[in-house]
Amino acid sequence: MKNRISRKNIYSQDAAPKTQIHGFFAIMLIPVLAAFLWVTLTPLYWLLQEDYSYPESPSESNRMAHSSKAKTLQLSPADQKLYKNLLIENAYWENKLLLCKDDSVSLSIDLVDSLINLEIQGVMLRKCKIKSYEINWSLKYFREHPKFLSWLGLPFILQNDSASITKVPVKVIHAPKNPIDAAQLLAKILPKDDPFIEFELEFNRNLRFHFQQGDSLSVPDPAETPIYYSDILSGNKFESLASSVKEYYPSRNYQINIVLSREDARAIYRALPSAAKLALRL
Amino acid sequence: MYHKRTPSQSTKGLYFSAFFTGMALAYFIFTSGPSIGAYVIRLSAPFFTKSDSISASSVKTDEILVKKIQGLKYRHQKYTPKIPYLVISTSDNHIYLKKGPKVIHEGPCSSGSYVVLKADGDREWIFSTPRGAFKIQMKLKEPVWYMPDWAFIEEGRVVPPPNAPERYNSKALGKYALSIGSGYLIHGTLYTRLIGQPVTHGCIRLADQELNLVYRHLRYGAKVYIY
Repeated sequence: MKNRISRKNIYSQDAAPKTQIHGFFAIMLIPVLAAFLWVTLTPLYWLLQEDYSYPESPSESNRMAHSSKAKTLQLSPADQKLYKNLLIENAYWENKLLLCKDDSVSLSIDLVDSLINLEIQGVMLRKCKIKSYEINWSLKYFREHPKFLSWLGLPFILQNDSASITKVPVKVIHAPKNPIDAAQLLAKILPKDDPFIEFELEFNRNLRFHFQQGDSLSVPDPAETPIYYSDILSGNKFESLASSVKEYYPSRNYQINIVLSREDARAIYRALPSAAKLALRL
Repeated sequence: MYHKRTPSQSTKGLYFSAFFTGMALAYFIFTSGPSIGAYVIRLSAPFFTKSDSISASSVKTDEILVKKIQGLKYRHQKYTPKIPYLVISTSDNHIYLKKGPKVIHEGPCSSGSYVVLKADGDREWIFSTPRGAFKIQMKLKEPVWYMPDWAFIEEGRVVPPPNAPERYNSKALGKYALSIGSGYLIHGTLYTRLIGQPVTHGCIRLADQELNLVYRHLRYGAKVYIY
């Protein structure tokens, strides 16, 4: 009898740590599973909402021709990436050729080579080196989407812009009464230094650019900033976390932030006409 | 005094640490979420969309595409003029004399001031340089400038009648002038200290060195691109 009781006690003592370990893993897995489901299901949900209706471009029809010729052989992921990059480059050069037919200044942005070209009738007016750039996650997701090539297929058209500088630095001057007044006018004519240059260009098909002067993007990526408990307690990090949650959720706003030299930023903004066209490679 | 922990307290501690470990792992997954998401899209795209996912019959497809891109680049290069041409940046007030993709010479210039001059009787003029592609339409040596009304109004002088002798100025445009149409000229100046500043009435002013080179290199019909 004594032996039986003692054995029962031993069993109950053994069972307690097991339950605790099960509980430990169960509690730990709840946030892990939630995060995992979030990052996998939201892109799938976004992918299922396929309501794109982009016009078919020459590159797209060309790609379809390639696809229709395709036999059963599927490319490896690395080759597929290479092939897709070639299709994007092909679309970029086809778009550039389309821009050659235009009489107004156009823009070619090549993120692969970090270059921006201002062109007119196919003649390069200015070559600008991109100092740094950042693509939002929606565009990164969309790059994997089958409709991405049709989206990229035709030149984008500028629809709206806003900037910290004026497009045309107009100065209004009233005619001087005599030559002495006229001599003082020169000081008014000479331009004043522009403020910090930044501007946004909104193109069709939900493409938006933010350009700014400088050496690197001034806004740090919240995902790359570590979390400190002091930050959490002060509430600073919750804001950045909330914004990053919003950022990760795929939307149809494709944004690219670009940093250029001050002179290049000013020249690009002032050279672009309304409804300027753009060829993009990324 | 040693206070012994009760089993319920230790379980609570364990569960809290489990929760924090779980949150830390969740944060790690969350931050790498976009790359996971991109893979999910890449892997699942063929199942959800029509059969236009990327596939290729053979390596030959790549080669065809590479050749096609080279062809497109070649066609694009053909748009650049073979004879010398001029590129003018009104933003930097700088000129680039080019032949093909090569820059023969570059230097400062002056372009339109964007001044709106308002005079009595609702008369106004805007001094801006036009932008776009132009051609050299005329080349002049020792050009004479017929001074319009605004040239007198701007200086606070009395406007003389048309064809009055004081309207003809043989010094203001320098040694040469090249017309790009609509009354706009590329010419020299007496005010060389202002070269590099946007101070003109719409024409392009050059210093003597640049003017000589531009006059020598640009033929009739040569392209001038202003942006």
